[in-house]
Amino acid sequence: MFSKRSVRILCVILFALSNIILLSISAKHPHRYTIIHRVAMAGIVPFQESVISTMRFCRHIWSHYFYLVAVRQECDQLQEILARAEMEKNRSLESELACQRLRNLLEMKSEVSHRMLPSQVVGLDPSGWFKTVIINRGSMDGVSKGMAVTAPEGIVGHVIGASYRYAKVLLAIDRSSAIDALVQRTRFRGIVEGETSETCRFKYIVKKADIRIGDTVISSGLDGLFPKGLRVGVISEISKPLSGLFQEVRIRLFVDFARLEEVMVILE
Amino acid sequence: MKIFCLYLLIGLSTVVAKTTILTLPLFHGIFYDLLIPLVVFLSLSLPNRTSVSVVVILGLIMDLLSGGIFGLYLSIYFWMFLSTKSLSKCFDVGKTIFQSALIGVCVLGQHVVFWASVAPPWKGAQLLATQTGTVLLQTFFAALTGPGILMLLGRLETRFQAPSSGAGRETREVAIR
Repeated sequence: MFSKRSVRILCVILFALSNIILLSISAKHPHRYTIIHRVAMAGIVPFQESVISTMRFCRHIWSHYFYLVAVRQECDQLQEILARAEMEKNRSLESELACQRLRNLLEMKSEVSHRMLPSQVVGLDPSGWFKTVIINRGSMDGVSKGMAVTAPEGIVGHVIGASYRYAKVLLAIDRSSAIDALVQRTRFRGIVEGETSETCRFKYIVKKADIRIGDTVISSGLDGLFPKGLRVGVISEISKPLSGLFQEVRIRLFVDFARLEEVMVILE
Repeated sequence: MKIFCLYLLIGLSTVVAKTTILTLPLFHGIFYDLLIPLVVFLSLSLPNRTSVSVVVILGLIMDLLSGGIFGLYLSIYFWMFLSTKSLSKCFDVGKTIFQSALIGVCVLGQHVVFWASVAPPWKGAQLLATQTGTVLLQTFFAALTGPGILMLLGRLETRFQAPSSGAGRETREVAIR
């Protein structure tokens, strides 16, 4: 009834359709972390870790033993900066003591510090389109899904899955990442969404909101993932479209994701 | 089995390199998915059973390591494999220009699929200028270096097969013909 060629074409079409359906089902449940993920990570990540360690060792040898040309000059500059920093530190200390006294006067509770776990990035996402990294801390160290990950500069992302020794972190610049944030100066709230590039979109900022380029954006603590007050980024672009309720705002994140090596997992 | 292990090992080493060394700022945006030339080579040169198993395993590993939709890499590699196999019946795959175009198209195709999955154009998402630049650069680089990688893989196979028999080479020649 049908030629062999027609049957083959039909099979290919059916296969393609079922492939699309399966991918759609898979897309409905993103970042699911199964036992297969754990096994694959246990098998592959140690190799990634050893390659990264070797690279860091070579870089360390290069920068600490061979690349010393500009070190003297840099040392002089650093000494100058250190002297200035000492002065700043004294001033800050004075301010902190004054603040503490005022806090006591107002009977305010002192801010609870978060328990942090330092960890190293041992692998990156194989594709440039998805922004995840693998860190060398897992459920053995108390890391679990949903924990916030930061760097000294600001927010890095959150854990989307953890195996015994490793965990996968979804970076704030990934398109599927969203952080509830607010402008530090004026306290206007919005959502920081990744764009798979160095900048992120700061959505749902109403047109009347008072924001300026250079304003710092911090986490609001309302998303249940990131504690309040963590630095996210700085507003780099604002445009007000003629239609719509909201401004189009872009922020430049404080963390340099291209050079991310050490991060801190917030355990509580 | 020996050939299966060899290409699986090459694939796994490529995955490790891709997620560590090739992500250094020095290589930022230049290196395309180096498993694509391997998938093309496997499709053109090895018997179906061996090559399909290697492609499926590598696709699964990439999916497990990636933060994207599970099954995306597997689907891309599998369709790449099938398309290359079909094309090899109609064209002379031994020509460098054809190999170059084939790998370039595969890299571009992979980027298009990723783009559609990450930022669906029908939902209003736009491709940023930097991303377009990266896609074009990688496609060009793939077209430039792809045939070289295929040649290297071919030589490796010949060398690996040489002590035992010429079976592998024959398989490859038959497949190319």
